[in-house]
Amino acid sequence: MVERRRSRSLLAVLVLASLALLTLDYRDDGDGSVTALQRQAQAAFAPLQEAFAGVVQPVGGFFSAIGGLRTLREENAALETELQELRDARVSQADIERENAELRELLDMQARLGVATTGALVIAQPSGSFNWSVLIDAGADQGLLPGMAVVNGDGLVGKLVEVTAGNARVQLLTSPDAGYAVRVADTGEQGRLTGRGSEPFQLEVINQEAEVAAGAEIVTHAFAGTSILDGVPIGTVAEGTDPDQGSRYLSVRPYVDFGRLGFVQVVLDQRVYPEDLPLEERIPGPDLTVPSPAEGEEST
Amino acid sequence: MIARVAMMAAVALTALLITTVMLPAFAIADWAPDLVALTVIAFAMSDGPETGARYGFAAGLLADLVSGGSLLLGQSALVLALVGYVVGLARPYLAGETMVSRAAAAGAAAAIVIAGHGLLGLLLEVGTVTFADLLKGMLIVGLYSAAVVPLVLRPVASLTSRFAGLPLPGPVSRRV
Repeated sequence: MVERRRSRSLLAVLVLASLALLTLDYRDDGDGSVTALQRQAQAAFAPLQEAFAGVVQPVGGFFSAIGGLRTLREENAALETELQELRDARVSQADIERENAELRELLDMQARLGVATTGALVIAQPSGSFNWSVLIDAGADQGLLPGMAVVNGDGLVGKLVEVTAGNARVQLLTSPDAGYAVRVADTGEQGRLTGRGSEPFQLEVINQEAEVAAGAEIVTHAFAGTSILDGVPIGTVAEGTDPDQGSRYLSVRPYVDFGRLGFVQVVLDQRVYPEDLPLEERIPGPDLTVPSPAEGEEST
Repeated sequence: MIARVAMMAAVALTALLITTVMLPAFAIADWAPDLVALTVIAFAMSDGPETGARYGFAAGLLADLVSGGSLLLGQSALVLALVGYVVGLARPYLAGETMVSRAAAAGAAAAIVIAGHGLLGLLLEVGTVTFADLLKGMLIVGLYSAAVVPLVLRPVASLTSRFAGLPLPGPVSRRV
């Protein structure tokens, strides 16, 4: 009986301590002592995680590859079909040259708009169940700042939310807390993309009358205040809008496999679009006020 | 006592490293077992509610601290302390049961940890989660945890019994 009372008291103390800490952190504005403590703890723990990752990731990668065998087989079959289609579609030499020239122009454009990136390796995912974020082995020492976009070969992965000297945390696109301005690549219809955890993304199309076809590609749309690059691929629409009924909310299947993230690129020098035009740079328009008859008589 | 605390700290640290670094590669539909939670359940099953609650609080606090701000400080500590206590209370009923029954109970407790995280997240508006995602997570993690928990229960039970009989350091142990 005494033992049970003691264990209940202990539980009460622990619950109260947890609630006190939760309240402290909840009221912390993001730059307070609790967040600073967590950052320091993460910075101290990250080297351990990095060392551990170096030892166990090859093992994890092996089992992960076994898990992905079915997907690989499907991809292989799809690629073989695509290759056969390409072989069948014999294009002329002139057509290839024209295509080549166009691609070179695109490459020149990409070089003009080109952004510097730095590579990083995903080393850990925080424990806890609803953490749609990963830790990478690059940080402020490599020039990383919160808000920077993170991409891989398939498309947009997310953006940096916490940066320490040697590590950074990436909020994945799958996070329900993440919202991105996007557009449909072929029609330019704009919308807002929200993560839904392990479910496909939700796309809210702004124009309610717009028709979006299934399979349409969704890319990022540079918007006021955003630091995300324009035109980065995200995924494809799973089901298009019904022409009769229409729907503002669509499902988007991501290109990136968020369950198997390895190497990623952090975009270092993307431009941040302003919320509004700077006041000092605005050019005044022509004076369109009509002179009053009295003023006109005086001038003549 | 010090050796026991050091052992528990080592177990919590190892579990956290495996959970954050290794287990994401073994995820099923983006869900993987939380080894920290499984060690809490295992300690509670082998040593009772006090150990379960104490270890749950400490291990949860560690997980919250190194999350770099993705978890609120005290979030995992609260959930794991409560689950550790409740599982510890059920210890007398689970003691004579087969490993399958204990694994099923551990799976259910792991699913409750997911529910606890999800509900706290909803309450505090942190890491918003859909109801469907919550159910899916509870189901996958519950089954997955039940399948792998025997790998945790046996070593933790053996460590608990090994470190339980250690003499206390200092004058008290000398008197005994």
